[in-house]
Amino acid sequence: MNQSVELLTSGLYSTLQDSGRFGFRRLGVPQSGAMDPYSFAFANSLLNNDTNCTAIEWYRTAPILLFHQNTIISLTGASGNAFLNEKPVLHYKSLRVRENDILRIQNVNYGNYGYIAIKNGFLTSKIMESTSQYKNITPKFRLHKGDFLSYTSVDYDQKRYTHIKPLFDATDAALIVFPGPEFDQMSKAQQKQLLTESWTLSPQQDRMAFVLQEKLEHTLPQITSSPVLPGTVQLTPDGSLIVLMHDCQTTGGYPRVLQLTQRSVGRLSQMRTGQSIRFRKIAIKL
Amino acid sequence: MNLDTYGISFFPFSEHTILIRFSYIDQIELTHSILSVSKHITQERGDKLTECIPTYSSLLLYYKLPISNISYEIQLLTKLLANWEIQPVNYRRIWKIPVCYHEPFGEDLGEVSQKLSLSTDAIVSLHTSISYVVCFMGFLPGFPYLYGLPSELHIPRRKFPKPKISGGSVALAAGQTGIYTIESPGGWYVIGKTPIRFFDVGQQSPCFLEPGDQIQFKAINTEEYQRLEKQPKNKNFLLPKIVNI
Repeated sequence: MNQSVELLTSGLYSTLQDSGRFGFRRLGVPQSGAMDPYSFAFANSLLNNDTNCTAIEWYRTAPILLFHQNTIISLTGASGNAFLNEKPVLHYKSLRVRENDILRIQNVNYGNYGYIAIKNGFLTSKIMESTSQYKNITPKFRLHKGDFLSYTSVDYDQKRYTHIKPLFDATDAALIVFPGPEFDQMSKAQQKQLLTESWTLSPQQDRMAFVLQEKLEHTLPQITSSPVLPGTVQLTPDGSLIVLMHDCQTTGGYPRVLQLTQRSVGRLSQMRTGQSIRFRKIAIKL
Repeated sequence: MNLDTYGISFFPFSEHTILIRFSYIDQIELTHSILSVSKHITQERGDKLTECIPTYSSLLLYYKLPISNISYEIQLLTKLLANWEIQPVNYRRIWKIPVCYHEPFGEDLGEVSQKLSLSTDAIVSLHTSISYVVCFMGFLPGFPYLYGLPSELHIPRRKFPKPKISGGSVALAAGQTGIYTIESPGGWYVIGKTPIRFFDVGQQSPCFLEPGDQIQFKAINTEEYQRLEKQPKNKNFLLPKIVNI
């Protein structure tokens, strides 16, 4: 197979993603797109790609890839020890790949979602203006062992690429939020609790939502189905806080108490089960 | 238009979105108002917008770029609506949707019959007795939220959702009726199944329904269901009746 990469393993949950599917929300079609848009865009920038080029997104365990042709790749987001064949390679750098090279990423010790970008992007058809995989929209909703992904082979030209270290603010656990549409329906005590306490990430985290461990007691009624977005924090009748992520539905019936900034949604996507977070509310400037 | 009459307020929701909330009471009038406002804003600000998303009582404006000056934008929208009147609807499209309520399609019909103390025939005749207004799509790609379910058929959601409801299922819950456009877990009671495909990614416009349209269900037998299912696009049924009002 020429000009393709073969998945020798699939990883835990790997998908193809671009920056998302926009303009079909009114049909009930989720936005999808890279969970950590910053790392995704960074991966493409390292290759001088268009920022929307399709990349592989993996969760926790990276797929093992066999490249059948020369190309250039970059690795961003979740990271561990990466090897091309047996040789260690760096994240956040353009990497020369030769025919029959095998990429492995082991001992993933930072983050959840990793990106493997390739020069000029993986070649896959757009459905509703996006290549992001989603069930019932794209023919397949995730990548499997034995899949072949096409790309246009290029030769490496060292002069054109650099190694950039990203600025991480991972030590700051505060996520920046706006008040949600139903924030004012909470009592002052509930608002204070939500904004001052720290919250633990539960094991329930995927591309649709990250659920928090602790409960917030409340008596808020449910609402009629209303718009929700990636970053909307919903408060369920039993007091669970659910942070919606990129594959979330377009409407929901739980009170929307907070709205994370886009940057905070990306940062949250890299935080792991057991980690604690706080919300720091800012007003949208009026 | 007097914004207070409709209880219209603007809420900055995220970097890219403004939520327009309406607190008018009658749902059909509310849906028409929201769609009329949506059309007007699309005409006047469409170049800045990715899309407008209606729901039961609000309209989400999704901007292409982060909104740099939200108070300016809200002022502009306020003026835009204040100097304009909601346009009356002068026609509606009514889609006749065939539904087979028989076993095995209406898999929860017996349960609903017990819970509501109504015969299955009574449920079917109530369900097909009126036309429903399509308020918006959400929950699943193409899933229409329909308004107008007779109160006799109001039933709460299941406490625990079923892991699998098949595409085409016509269902009841939470005072509403709807159509599962694709297979999904769900907490609604399935009373029938339609052979019509409500969401098709292969089509130029994947949904033939639009908010503001109406749906009238028509009971069909199993043979009819099987015949229609074999017609690839169910073309005969995809012609709405246009009614001038």
